[in-house]
Amino acid sequence: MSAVASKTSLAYRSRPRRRIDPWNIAGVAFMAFLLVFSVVPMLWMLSTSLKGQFAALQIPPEWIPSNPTLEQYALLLSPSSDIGPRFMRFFANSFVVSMTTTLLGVLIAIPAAYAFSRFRFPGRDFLFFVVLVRNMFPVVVFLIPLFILMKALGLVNTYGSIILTYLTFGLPLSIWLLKGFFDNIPEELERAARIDGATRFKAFWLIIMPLTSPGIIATSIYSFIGAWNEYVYAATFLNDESLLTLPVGLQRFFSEFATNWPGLMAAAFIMSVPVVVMFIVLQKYFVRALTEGAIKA
Amino acid sequence: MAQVVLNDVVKTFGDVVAVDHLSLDIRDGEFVVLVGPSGCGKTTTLNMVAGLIELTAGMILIGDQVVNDLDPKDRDIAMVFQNYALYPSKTVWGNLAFPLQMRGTPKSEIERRIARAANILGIQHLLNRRPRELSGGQQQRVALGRAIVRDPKVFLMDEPLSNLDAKLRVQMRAELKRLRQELNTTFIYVTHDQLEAMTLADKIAILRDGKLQQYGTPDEVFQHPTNMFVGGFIGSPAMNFLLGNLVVSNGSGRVQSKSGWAFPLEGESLRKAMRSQTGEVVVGVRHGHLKISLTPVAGAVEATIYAIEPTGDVTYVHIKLGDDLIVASVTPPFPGRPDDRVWISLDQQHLHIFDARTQEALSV
Repeated sequence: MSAVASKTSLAYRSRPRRRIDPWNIAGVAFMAFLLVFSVVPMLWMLSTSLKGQFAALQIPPEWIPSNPTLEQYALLLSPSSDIGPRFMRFFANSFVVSMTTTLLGVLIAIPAAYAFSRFRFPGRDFLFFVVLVRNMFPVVVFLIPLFILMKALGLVNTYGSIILTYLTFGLPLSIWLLKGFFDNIPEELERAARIDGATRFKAFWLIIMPLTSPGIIATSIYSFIGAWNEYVYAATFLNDESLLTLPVGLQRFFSEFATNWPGLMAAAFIMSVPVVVMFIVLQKYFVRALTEGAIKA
Repeated sequence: MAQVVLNDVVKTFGDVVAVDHLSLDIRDGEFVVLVGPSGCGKTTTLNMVAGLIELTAGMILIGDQVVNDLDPKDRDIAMVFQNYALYPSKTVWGNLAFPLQMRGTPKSEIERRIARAANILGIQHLLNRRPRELSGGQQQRVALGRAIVRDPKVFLMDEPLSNLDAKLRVQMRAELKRLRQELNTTFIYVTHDQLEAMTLADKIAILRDGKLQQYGTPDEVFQHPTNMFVGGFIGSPAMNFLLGNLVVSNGSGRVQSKSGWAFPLEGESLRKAMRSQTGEVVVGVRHGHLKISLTPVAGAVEATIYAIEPTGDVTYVHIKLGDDLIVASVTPPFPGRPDDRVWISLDQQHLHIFDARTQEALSV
């Protein structure tokens, strides 16, 4: 029987090969376009960061630098240069802010999403709607209200102001993403665990959490990148140079008098490293989280 | 081991009454099957015994303890779910160990109990696998194993066999029966399959729309259904119902239908039918208690064969009687053909008489 089945499936498979599907070609062309669209700026950034000040402004541009130099990287990473210590400071600031945002966000989002997924309580649907509505407005709309709020709280020019702001933006999405993951885990698992002697919390912690880890990792990456790259709020809420995050710090420093393009590009390249490393390390979870969604129980 | 008592239990979801004043007395060591069509409240009832759903009203006792406000973990029960609910991130061993670990059982005792359960269910070789690496039947065994590693007061089973294919289901049914003899614990078992209910149960509780229809041994509910629903639900193919008016003249009686046929009623059946308020009665007759003849018989009713279903050891003959379709079973070979004329008569000793209006069984 299996022989028959494999024969038919072979015959079935060979048929569509004969003609070329125009949709496939369109698909490939579109993907190629997207690839160029996203990769070329990265390469251009890398290329510029390796050039001298003049070569960077030359027209027509040099795609591949004729005299590549690591001068800018050396300056950025040297503790004795003018920019070096400040760059390190911005980097550390960004890291602290993004990490705190991510950890706090996930800590709040997990129980919130779990509650939305599992419990029936009055106003549940309305609350969830409110959580999502936040995402329908452009972030800049909240700039002035939040600034007034932060001022009243005495948080302007502290990490607290931007961490709270990032949470405001990141949490709804995190809760929504995680709720999807919890929804896909059959409720019987907790029921079984509770009958087997676990408290509600233990059932969640020992049985449900391990199943949600791809989702939690994906959500964390998402929230980390959001905070790592954010510019507008950091530029508005922070003044003290020692507090600036990378996007704001770099912009201020490198365009103070005239834009030092190679320096800015080198800094931007270094800035993208943590995100890229994170993606590479956690990629398999991320992809699994996005494609699988459902965890088969 | 413990008795389970449901006392006037009610569960409502908004305006929907899922369980309607249900009372059941389940004795220590009894195997009770809750059976009924989907939406009859059987799973809700089981979940209330488990403590997964709160009662709206009423009382549940396990042993001598009222458990209404007791957490599932404190009820000392074990449950097998329809989709098995094995913990995907744990191995089979981890799944079996979990209920013991949660209760702080010593390590050596855990090993001993898992070995025993695995041995009973024949899953020793699977202990290191994960649930997704198991077949449906194997997952089913692990789910049973997770229930029997402890010695709970009560086993709760929610359609545990319905995800298995037909052959495996029959096999596991026998194994459950065997397991039940070895464990001798109270079981509450939910199914929509009346055959499972009949084969496994000491007692069957038939539910419909949240209301208890009948509670008794398989024999009682089969031989003496209290209403048309139970009569039609228990037994396969379903009981035939013949609706007609009781006509009594000169001490003999018959049931006369609007579409023309009339069957005589005698003895006890007649006395039961005479209890009907309106004179409108339903005669219930199981497929085995219809007699078919291919030649005219005195007192028999003429009808036509609609379809013939041979199953090997028995042949079901579907018959068009007036406006009704009824089923009779005969021992093969059956020489009739579709559209042939047949003469049918009723086995007077095995008739069920219902009141057409109340649908309740009539008794003398």
